[in-house]
Amino acid sequence: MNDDATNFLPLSPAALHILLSLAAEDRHGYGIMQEVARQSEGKYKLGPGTLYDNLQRLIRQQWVEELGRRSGDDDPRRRYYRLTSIGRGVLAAEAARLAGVVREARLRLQMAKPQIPKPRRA
Amino acid sequence: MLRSLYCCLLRLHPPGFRRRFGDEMLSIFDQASRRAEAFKLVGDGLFSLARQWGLRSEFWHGISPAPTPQPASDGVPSFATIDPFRPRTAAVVHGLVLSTAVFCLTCFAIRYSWIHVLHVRIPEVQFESPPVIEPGAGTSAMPEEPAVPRQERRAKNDVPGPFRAESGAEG
Repeated sequence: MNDDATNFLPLSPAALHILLSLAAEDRHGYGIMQEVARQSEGKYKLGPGTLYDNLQRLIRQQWVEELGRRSGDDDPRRRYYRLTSIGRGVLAAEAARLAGVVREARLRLQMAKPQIPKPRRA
Repeated sequence: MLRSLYCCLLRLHPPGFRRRFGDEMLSIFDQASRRAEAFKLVGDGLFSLARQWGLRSEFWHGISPAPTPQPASDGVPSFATIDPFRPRTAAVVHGLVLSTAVFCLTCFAIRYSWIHVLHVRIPEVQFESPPVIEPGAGTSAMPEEPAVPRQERRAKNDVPGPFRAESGAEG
């Protein structure tokens, strides 16, 4: 599965955040938007146009499935979405890739020595 | 006001996208409490409209799961080449009505336009009136005309009135 999942990497930031927000529990569109804002501490906000544009692609790729409406919800227009096993595999592969990037970045930054400019003689 | 504008924007989205996500997008719009948020959502809707029509032609008529190539029985994978495309009946009817209307309008414009650019003469349809037979006169009473071809007769009738009168006076 992981070999297949790496073909789709790297993910776009919107797709990554949507998959990540659905990893813990099923959510509706507005819930996904709120969760993405919470995960990024308000630095990344999804609009509904971007959200549903990405959702329709994720549904087509069968990474996310639609569960339909729930009877006890406040707004009957809301539909819930769930991460599929394929989507979970893709998210795990992307997380592993990002972990490798972060590890490499830390290593390079530690190796680099700060250069102090020498004072010029008059 | 902004909600109506947002509804119009949603209606302009491709049918597949609108049917699937239109209600949810409107639900999210209804959650917006401040006016600035509503303005942002209208902008987002405009951007989404351009994106859906410009970049997402595969989703215009709805979402279907991605086709997966299935291996044939002999082990050679089979590939789907062209998806079967069949226009909707309503689209065909609309196209027929619109084509007919445009065709009629074009013919009307060519026939009755004051600016004759093409110099195309569309002949008028002429119906020949049947010969009037007087009730008292029998067929034997009518003077027999010499056998003149029909085209010559018509040419004679097409001569302008004054000229005809003079020629009649001369004869």
